[in-house]
Amino acid sequence: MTGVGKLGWVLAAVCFFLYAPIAIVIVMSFNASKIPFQWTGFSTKWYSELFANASVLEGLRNSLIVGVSTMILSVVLGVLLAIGITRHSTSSAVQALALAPAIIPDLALAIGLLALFSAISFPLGLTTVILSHTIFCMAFVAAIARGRILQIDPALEEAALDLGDTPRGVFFRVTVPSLMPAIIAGALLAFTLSFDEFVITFFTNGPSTPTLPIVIYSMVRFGVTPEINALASLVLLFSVAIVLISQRSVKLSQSI
Amino acid sequence: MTVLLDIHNVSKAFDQLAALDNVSLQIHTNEFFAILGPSGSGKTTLLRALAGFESLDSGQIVLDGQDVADVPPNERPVNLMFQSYALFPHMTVFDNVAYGLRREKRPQGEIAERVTSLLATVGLGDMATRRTHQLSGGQKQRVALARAIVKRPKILLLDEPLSALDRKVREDMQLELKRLQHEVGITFVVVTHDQEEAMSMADRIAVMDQGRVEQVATPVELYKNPGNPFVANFIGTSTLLRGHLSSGRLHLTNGVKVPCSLPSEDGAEIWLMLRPEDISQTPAGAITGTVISTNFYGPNCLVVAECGLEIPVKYLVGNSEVPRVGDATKISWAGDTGVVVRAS
Ligand SMILES: Nc1ncnc2c1ncn2[C@@H]1O[C@H](COP(=O)(O)OP(=O)(O)OP(=O)(O)O)[C@@H](O)[C@H]1O
Ligand SMILES: [Mg+2]
Repeated sequence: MTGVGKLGWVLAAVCFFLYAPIAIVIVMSFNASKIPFQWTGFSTKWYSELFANASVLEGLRNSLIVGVSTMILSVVLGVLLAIGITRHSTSSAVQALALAPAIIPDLALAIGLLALFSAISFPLGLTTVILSHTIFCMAFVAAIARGRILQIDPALEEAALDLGDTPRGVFFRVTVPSLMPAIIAGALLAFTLSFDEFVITFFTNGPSTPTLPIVIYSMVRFGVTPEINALASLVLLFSVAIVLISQRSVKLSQSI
Repeated sequence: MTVLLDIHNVSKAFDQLAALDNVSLQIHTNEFFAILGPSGSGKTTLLRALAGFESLDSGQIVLDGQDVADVPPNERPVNLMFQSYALFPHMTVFDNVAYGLRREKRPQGEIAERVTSLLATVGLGDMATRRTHQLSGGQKQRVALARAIVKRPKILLLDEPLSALDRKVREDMQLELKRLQHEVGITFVVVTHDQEEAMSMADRIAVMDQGRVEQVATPVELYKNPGNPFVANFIGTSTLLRGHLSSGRLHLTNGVKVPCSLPSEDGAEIWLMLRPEDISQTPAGAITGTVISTNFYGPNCLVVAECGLEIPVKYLVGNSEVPRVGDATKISWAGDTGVVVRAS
């Protein structure tokens, strides 16, 4: 056996631990039996039960509200932040500081935010979750947008200005369209990050508005039910769809 | 001739480095004006200052009688064609060209008509719906030109408009630029570091070096009467011998004396500029040397020879007399040929 052969085993092991859990979750979500790992036949009843489960639906609704709001806020703020740090600052400290929330450990950010919100007696709820998610998602969007800004020719904006457009017109007619691939990628990333975020949400949320990950967490405490498998499968499907859409749209907008 | 653009004592420094050093120029209405200079001489900076993208440290730019210091780029009646073309990648060729007219809120019909006819003029009539990334370098250059010209600015500024093109396309475009300028009757200011390009297109040329304007003159005048050694060296091929005149001879600093009977006061330090065609290779030549390189052009050949005159001498020979590198050579020139150049 050569080195390549040994590496083949590593590859197989990695693939196993990567894909087996996913496969198990999906297969078990269609298992008629309630007892895990005992296949008694194919059924979609867990999916129908899921959609009848009020707390799951409530969690889904909250997660969508948080995800969409975070997406909008962090795209607007992240793109502006990226423009600011690349075009109007030469300080590398400012850049590092601006992008830091993306790499600060969730736990530190979560505890800090919780302390802040209680210090200013801000009532915990979806608003605080949205604000907290925006803090770190914005940094991810800014990082993506920054890469794109560095690629585009600064002469594009000057050319538009030279042709008689106002600075505001240049922003909406040239800057934003040039950044579109980054904006789409950033938006979808912000949404996915926010949608299954747990730690920060757990700390900064109020008790009456659980998001989907928190609902799942409280369900899992009583064991992994097939219903949870069904839910996880749906979340997986949803995320894969978003990734595919984002790859598609980035390709599309890069080709124009 | 009316002065359209008066650049008066303009200076601009980028952290200590003077990109523009007391530049003064006057550009006339309907003139094809070229700014020529080596890399880093401040050509782009001057053009950007004219378009409003660089603030001045001192001096004035007066356009059509109005000081434009406080006029932002989007309100100046000039348009700039960028060296990188800066075409909008998310728009079609038509939309790129229409951009400026749309900002003026022109009626749709007028926009369509002006853009379409201009695209036809620059030979892109059937490309209107293409995206800019589907165009060749020469086609992009035409779109950039059309986009900058469509608003009929008082002055069209072009920053190295042809530098990205290969030689053949470049020569065609030089003629086309010239033709277009006649057709639309707009004052053109073209920046280039290619002297042949400047010489063949421009009515007048400003030669720049290290942020200063060294000379402003017609191409013929620049070639025949360079105002200082830099211009003599930069424009065309020449041999520049430095020394002082005394009784009909030029005394080089290394003691060698060469013929020069041109009128000039005795004793003053001058440069004698000899064009390659001024020097002949002849067996009767009093100056001897060794050929160090030859450059064959077809009808003739440029020879560079080391003749103990401090710098190598460059001269032309017919294509039947091409020497080999290392050959001994004899050259001479008449005492009244060449041009006396003084330090400015
Ligand atoms: N934004 C800037 N910041 C600092 N220095 C600059 C800036 N723009 C230009 N310079 C400097 O000013 C000098 C003139 O630059 P400029 O671009 O005008 O030269 P150029 O004649 O156009 O050269 P090229 O033929 O290479 O385009 C150069 O030394 C350049 O390094
Ligand atoms: Mg330049």
